[in-house]
Amino acid sequence: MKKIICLFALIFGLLFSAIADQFPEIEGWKLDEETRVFVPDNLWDYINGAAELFFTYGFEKLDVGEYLQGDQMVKVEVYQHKNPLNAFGMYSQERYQEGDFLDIGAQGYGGDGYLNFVKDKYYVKIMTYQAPLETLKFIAGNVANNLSGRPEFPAELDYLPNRGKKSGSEKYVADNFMGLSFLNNVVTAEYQVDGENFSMFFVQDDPSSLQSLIEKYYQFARTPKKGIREGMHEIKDPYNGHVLIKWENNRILGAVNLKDKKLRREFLP
Amino acid sequence: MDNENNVNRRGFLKFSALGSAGLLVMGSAQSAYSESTTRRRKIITRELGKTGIKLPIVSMGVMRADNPGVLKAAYEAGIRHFDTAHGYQGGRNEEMVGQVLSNYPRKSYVLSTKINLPKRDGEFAEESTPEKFYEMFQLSLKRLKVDYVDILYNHAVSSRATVLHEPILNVMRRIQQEGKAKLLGISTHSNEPESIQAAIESNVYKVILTSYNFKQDHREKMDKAIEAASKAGIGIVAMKTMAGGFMDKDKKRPVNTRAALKWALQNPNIHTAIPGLTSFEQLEDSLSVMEGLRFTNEEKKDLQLAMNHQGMYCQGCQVCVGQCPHNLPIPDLMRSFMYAYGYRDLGQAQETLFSLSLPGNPCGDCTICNVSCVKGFDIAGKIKDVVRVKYIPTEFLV
Repeated sequence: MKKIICLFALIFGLLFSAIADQFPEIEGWKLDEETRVFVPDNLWDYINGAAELFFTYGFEKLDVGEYLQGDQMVKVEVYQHKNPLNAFGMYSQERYQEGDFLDIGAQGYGGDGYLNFVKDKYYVKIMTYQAPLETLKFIAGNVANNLSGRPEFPAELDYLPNRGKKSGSEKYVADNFMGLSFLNNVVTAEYQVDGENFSMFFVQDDPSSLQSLIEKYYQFARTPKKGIREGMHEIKDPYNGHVLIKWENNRILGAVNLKDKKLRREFLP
Repeated sequence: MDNENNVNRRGFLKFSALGSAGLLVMGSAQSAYSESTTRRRKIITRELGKTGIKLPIVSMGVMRADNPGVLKAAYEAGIRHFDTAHGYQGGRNEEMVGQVLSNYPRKSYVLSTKINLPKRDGEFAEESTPEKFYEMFQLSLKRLKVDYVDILYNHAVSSRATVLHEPILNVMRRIQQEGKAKLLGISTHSNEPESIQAAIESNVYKVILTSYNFKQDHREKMDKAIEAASKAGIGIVAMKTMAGGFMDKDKKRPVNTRAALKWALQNPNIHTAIPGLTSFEQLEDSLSVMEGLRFTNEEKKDLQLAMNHQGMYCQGCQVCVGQCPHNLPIPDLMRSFMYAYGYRDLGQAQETLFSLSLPGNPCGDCTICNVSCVKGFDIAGKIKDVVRVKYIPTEFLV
């Protein structure tokens, strides 16, 4: 019996400390005692249909807490994903492309009644009906500092060229990139260079999978090809436009609707 | 009743003259169809209750789609009802829907969105005010680039209290009176029968968006609730028809999505379904369902596998064999039950029953059933339900 009690104490102790870990003490604010935890089995109960997208991005756990100060209440949702790339992916799905970004975690943005940011494997959403944005920034800063991990974008984004990249356009797309079921785990961004608008994407996988991917793409475009080799591939995608793919070993760098030949050489060397 | 409309539409993924089609730039999917072959397809349509709206049986849940090309292709292929919500992708989903659909005549499509206010313990939370609901809806209209939506849902209700909450009902009525929503509805993912019953009683909601799939344990209650709502003239839209898309938590055993969608739509009280479409491949799958609901042999097999996996139907373990004092062939009777209630294939259920040479009232002599099923099924109850199929005139089963 004593062992069982100790076990329960340990489990509850770990659980409580795990929850408390996500919600630091914040000066002037009191954390409501009733924090909630959701896992993949019951995320539906909290955000219903929106849960599906979170599952696509390796959702593991959600902690929900409320900070109180007088009549003001600020709700903090800390979504924990499988890895930083997944957390960034979910963040990028919901992020506004335009607007000012905040230096909170790896990046954040906010508006009237909300503030979202990403840090490492955490995607954090903060909302209120009463407090001003400055208050949300203060709380977000405290929450971000308390979360483990590095306040940087995932390293995979570094494979995309920097010149001309539109700020806030970077995304990680877990599945069906451009509506193509064979194009998954893609990092992408939009570009504007010398008046030309195009997008670029990057995929990392084992060479045989990348070969299969390119074969499927040719098949999709109704121009099947066999014996695909490393190098440049040009696909006329009837839905997404003109697609260039440069395959090298375990990496693919692609460009969509990049017309200028000089730019092609620069961006797909 | 189903209607089959001959629709001239561009053949999906049937390209010719790719040389020119391939020069299209991103976001010009419509042009791709001008290069495609045209063929005639029969699309099954149903009335959305007594709302006056007729829709193809397959609509599009835009929820997870982040590619405008898929949405354009869906419209071009004949899908006419698009479902989104205020909260999907933090609002980006509504923006994308608005961007794409603004290219088409407003009256050529049916647009629905949903407003979800926080709830606690089956009630709206304190901060869930009608003013907030109105404000969120106004933002949705702006994102969607429209003056009105066709259907506005009170989103994710799961109790009588949240369906009939007077302040929310009032603000929804106000929105309708202002002409900003043609129809009002509820969406429900859990405790659906109670919510559906409350919606019928409200006399305000004319459309119900509900979870509905072959995996639901409470499906008999669901069927009754949906039938009652349909009889009351309420339009029924099914969601979550794919039952999560996978049979296992590790997502290694996918559900046959075509079979799952057909299963839901074989209930005539389901007027349309909104599978979430994120790829051209999924779209093509769904389009094939719009043309016919008959299962292929492979789909039947896959559906049976999925049902067995879920444990809703007999898996033929044979443990019960010999337990019945009248030696009833229980696994065969359970198989017949699955045909009737699982596949909705009454013909096959009846054929199986006839092949068993059963007495008129198989359980008539017993007051207590001693058969013990390892899955805990109510064997006597299921037998009682299924033997009724024997007496349905064959001509009604065609």
